[in-house]
Amino acid sequence: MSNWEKFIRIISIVPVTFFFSLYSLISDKHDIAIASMLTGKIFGSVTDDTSKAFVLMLSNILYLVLFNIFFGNLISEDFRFSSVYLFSRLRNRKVWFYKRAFELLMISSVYALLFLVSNLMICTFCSTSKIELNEVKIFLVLFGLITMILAITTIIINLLAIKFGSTTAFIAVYISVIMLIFLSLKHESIPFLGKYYFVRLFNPLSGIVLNLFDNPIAQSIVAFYYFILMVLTFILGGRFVDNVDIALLDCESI
Amino acid sequence: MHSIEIRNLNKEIKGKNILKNINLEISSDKIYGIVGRNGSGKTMLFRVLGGLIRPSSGKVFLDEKEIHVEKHNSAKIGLVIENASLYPAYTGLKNLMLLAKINNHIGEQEVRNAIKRVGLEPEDKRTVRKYSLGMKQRIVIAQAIMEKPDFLFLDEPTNALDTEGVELVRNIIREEAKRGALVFIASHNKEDIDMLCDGTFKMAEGKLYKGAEA
Repeated sequence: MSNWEKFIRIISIVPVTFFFSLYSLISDKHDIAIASMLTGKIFGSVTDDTSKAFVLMLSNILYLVLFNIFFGNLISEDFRFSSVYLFSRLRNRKVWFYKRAFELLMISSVYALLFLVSNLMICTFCSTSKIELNEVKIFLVLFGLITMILAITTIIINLLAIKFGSTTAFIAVYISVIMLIFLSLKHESIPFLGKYYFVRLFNPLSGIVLNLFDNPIAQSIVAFYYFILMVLTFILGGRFVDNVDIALLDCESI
Repeated sequence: MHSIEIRNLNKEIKGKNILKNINLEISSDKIYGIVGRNGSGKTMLFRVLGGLIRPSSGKVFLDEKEIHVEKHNSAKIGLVIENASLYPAYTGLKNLMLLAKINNHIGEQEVRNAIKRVGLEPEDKRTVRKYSLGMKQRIVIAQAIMEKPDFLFLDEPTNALDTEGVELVRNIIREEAKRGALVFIASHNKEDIDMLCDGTFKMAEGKLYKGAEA
């Protein structure tokens, strides 16, 4: 993927975000704090109807779906073409993977920043309030969470794509994402575990499904949990790439 | 002088033994060849030698350094694997430049020289997708020789080439051996092996035998 292609894919989130907020932009201004409006846009509206909340949530993770589609082959592409000639030159496959995964993390952070800045601009336009310290705090927490979930899911898709191909990897990850969102929303109905609120936080999708800004402890646990998941993804990904039989994966040499 | 040592090498994939107890010790700047039918395990052996595949058991040493265990200078291996592709959407020059940047041992001039050496034009704006089979074969040979490697592992190097191309590649192989590289060729074309090689091996059903007639 050339740098130009990466750039186009990253900035595409800006027009997409504005397009899906057209209605808000042409409506009257509201007397709601920008922070509440921003979290409302990211986590969706509160509703007691689970099926409605589920559909709303799926539309709210469009930014994640787009990023996964755009960059789900950033690393796995190198296993598809030229892998024989690339990997016979590498001194250390793990280091190569860490560099590529770090590049993906950097791309995730720019994409998350553009997504959040676009949403913040829309919220500022639609609200009569002004940006204060609370908005900055919420913006930074959201930036960290979204960057990490983008990087984690996309690295997992890339790793699965190395072994099973892009389509299978994408389908497998999205079946898991949909199931985890559903479990996060229906947590209270799960027998036994449903009684324990904190168990819900260990569902990897809870951080982007639940608005936890009223509960700073839960928010900190989720942020730390995401960080651990990301480090694990890097370490296990490095091990996988180091041990995989390269030439057997080249699409034209099987 | 460079050396290859293989001790009790086995490779099993999905319960099938592809390489069976291979032992080999060669050390010189000569050209060695392996003949064998399609599916006999020649390419798999080169994949192991190129560090692409881990043996199920056994050890492989290049210049006395065990591959996958000790950090050897991988820029010193030139590899051609039958049918393995370059990026189809890039030109030959761009493909080779990307590979040259991995270890940064050579610059653009050396890459251009390698492309000219195999009879192609570095300025060619066509992407590899639009290359003929013969041109694709020439460009992968250029990527194998461009960094002046100590070891050249060439799997079916004259595949898809016309008579002139075959002669050109044979001359390149001789020049590389003269430069000091240890060249190992796998081919089902016995003529290539007879004309080029100082020592020959035969591969059959995953086993390696000394001598082409074995």
